[in-house]
This record gives sequence, C-alpha cells and structure tokens, in this order.
Amino acid sequence: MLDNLEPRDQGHAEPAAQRPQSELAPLTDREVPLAEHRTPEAIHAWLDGESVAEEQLRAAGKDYEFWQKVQSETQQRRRMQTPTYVTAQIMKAITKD
Amino acid sequence: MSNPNPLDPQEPLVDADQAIIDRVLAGEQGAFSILVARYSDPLYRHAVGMTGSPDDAADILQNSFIKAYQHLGEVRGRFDAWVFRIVANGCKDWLKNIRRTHLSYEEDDQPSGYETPEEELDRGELRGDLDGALAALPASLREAFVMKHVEGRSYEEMADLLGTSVGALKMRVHRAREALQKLLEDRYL
Repeated sequence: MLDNLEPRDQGHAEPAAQRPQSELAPLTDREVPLAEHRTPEAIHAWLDGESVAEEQLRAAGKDYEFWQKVQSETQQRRRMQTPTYVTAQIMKAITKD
Repeated sequence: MSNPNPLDPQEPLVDADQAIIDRVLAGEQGAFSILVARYSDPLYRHAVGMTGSPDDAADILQNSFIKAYQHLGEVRGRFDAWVFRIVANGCKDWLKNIRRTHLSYEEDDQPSGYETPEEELDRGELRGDLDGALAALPASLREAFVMKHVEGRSYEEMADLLGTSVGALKMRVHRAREALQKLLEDRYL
C-alpha cells in the first residue's frame, strides 16, 4: 500500500487535482464570461458591397453608424496620391545605376 | 460594372506593360517612369495602410521600384502583380522590424471632404484611432482590411494578387473588422 503524502487532503471527498479549476482559483481570478459584441452580418454584407435593405442596416444602430464613419475615413484614404518627390527620387536613383 | 482600379487584370495593360519593360531593357531607362506613374498610387496607399506612416510608405515604395528596376528582366507574367508582391513584402519586413504603439499620418495635401470643423475634428480622432487599431492587428488581417477597404479591391483581385482563395480572404477581412470594432467599441459604440 502506498503512503499518503498529502495528509491535509484526507478530509476532502476528492483529491485537489480532480476538483474543478474554478473551485481552486481565488474568487477574484475567476473569469466572468461577458457577452461578446459581434459585427452584425448585415453590416459585413454591406461592407462587402452586397445589397442590403436600408432597414436592416438601420436596425444595426450604432454598429452601422460606426462603420459608416470608418467607410468615410477609408474612402478618404483611397484618394491618397504618391508624393511627386518619390517618383522623382526613383527615377534619379535608377538613372545613377 | 467597370472598376477604375489600375491594378485590375486587363490584358491590354499587361501587353502595354511588357512593351514598356522591353523598352527599358533595351536601354531606354526613362520609360520606367511610365510604370511608376501607372502603379505607384495604389501601391503607395497599400504601404501607407500597412505602415501608418507616409514617410515610411514612401521609402518602401521607392526601394521597391528600384528593386523592380534592377530585376526587370525577371518579370514573368503581370508586372503589376509582381511589383505588388515586392511592395507587400517590403511592408511585411517593415512590420517585423518596427512595432509601434501609436501611428498617425498627415494628409495635408488631401481634400478633407468634411463640411464643418466638428466633422473635421471627429475625423481626425477616428483617423488616429483607426491607425492605432490597425497597428494592433496581425499583419495578414491588416493587409486584407487595407486591400479591401483602403485600396477598394474586390476579393477576386485580392485573391489574384495574394495567391489565396476568396473564401480565406473574406474570413480575414471579417476577422479584421471584428477585431477593429472590438478595439474601438469603447470609444465609438
């Protein structure tokens, strides 16, 4: 017969290793699952360029407002042009070769 | 529907590119400027989107075109896809070397498109926040988001340029959106 090396566990119905992790962790360390906010599928479809009914988009409320702002910003960026000095520097560098 | 993006696969353009490449290889160095003018804007937007820095984007673009020039004889197939890969790899190397906590860029020469100072201020905040959030994404998600939303490419075009399936790219873009929304929701939702 093996010696019991954990005499403090004698009073428990099951060994510490078999008890659920949540029971062992201090209360303050236990994770409370929060409801995760997901981007609505209608918004993904709209952002992908699919046709989505306006009422479906409006039903997405703040998500729709948020992605409208992001769309507006990304469309501004789409108009960015290469600074003219870059083209000049490229041509200067290659003609040196 | 026509797509004005100059990196669209268009056979006449591919042939025209090859004709310019032949001229450059025959010794007419100046003809290379036609290729630079034709493709630099979408590539610059890609680099700015990936780095968040116009200066670094300009450096990457410059180095990429110089590299393209030096290896021009090795182009097989589409020049636009080939030079895109050089720029995309340059951006990924930049990301490996530099991790920034906050990125922003100036757009002094760009029209604002906003009518009131309040809208301009909101936009300035969103611009900085979006850069910061993009910087926090893994490179593959960031690349997919930038190509879709900043460069305005179709999934088919992206798949063509990246050698990945449309489904995989849709997944990446969706994951990027979810991540961006999560990063910015405290402030904007």
